[in-house]
Amino acid sequence: MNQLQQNKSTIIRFFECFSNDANLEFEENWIHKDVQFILSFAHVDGLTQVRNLIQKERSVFENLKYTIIDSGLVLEEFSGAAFWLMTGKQVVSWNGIPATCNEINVSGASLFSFDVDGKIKEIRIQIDLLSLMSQINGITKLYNF
Amino acid sequence: MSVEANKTIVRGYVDAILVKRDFSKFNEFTAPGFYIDRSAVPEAIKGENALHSQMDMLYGAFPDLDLQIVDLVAEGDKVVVRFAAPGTHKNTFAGIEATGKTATWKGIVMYHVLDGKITEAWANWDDYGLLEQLR
Repeated sequence: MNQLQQNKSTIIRFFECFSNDANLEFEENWIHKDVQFILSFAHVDGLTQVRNLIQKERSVFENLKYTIIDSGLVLEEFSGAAFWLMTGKQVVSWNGIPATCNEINVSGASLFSFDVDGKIKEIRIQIDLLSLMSQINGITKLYNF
Repeated sequence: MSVEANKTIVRGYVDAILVKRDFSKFNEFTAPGFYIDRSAVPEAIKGENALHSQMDMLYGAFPDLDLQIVDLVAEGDKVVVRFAAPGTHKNTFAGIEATGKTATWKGIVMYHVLDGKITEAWANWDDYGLLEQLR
């Protein structure tokens, strides 16, 4: 397996971790223990915190799943990008919005940086929060200054 | 075209069209039928006039908007750009009157480049984060 194929496999594996039935006992041969996970609304520092964030997302959104869209993967030797769809059902309060039990379908994109050993060292996530907030009836909150 | 050539085309498009807003160069960088699929907007931005209107609206609200490429990844005919765009909110934006606040709009966009021209873009911009910064 060449480096690009390995990066592809690592990115797919990362997204699979969000599924409810996935094992979160990460093997540190593919993700760095000091990985930085950077969202527009949060900066998560280190593998333990990433694990906690994934567990929290799973608890908020039932049947959580990330699907990389066709042609949505772009790979270089030390970086990669993925465009994806996130689906699930909001069953717990999130971002101040009480549980709606609404199904959500939200797009996003992530940029990955890899170290020389091929481990993920940084992930920057862009999610369409406006659509997500709209789907869980949170837009009124946004404009309620 | 090589991956490096595709990167150069996208950098040129960003500088000429999105930063300098020199729409006389629009056809130099884009193919007929060019469109931008924006996740938060139901309708795609199709063609020169639609993009020109969007950019006028954006720079009207944030006249000093500083659109920067902060990361770039490419493979084959695809080029992905991570943007950061700080600017001062000086006029109404999305129904919010000028606040005078400096906010940074962030986004990740994938450009599809065929035979030296951009055919389409998939854009994911943090509109929610931008609005939150104006609260």
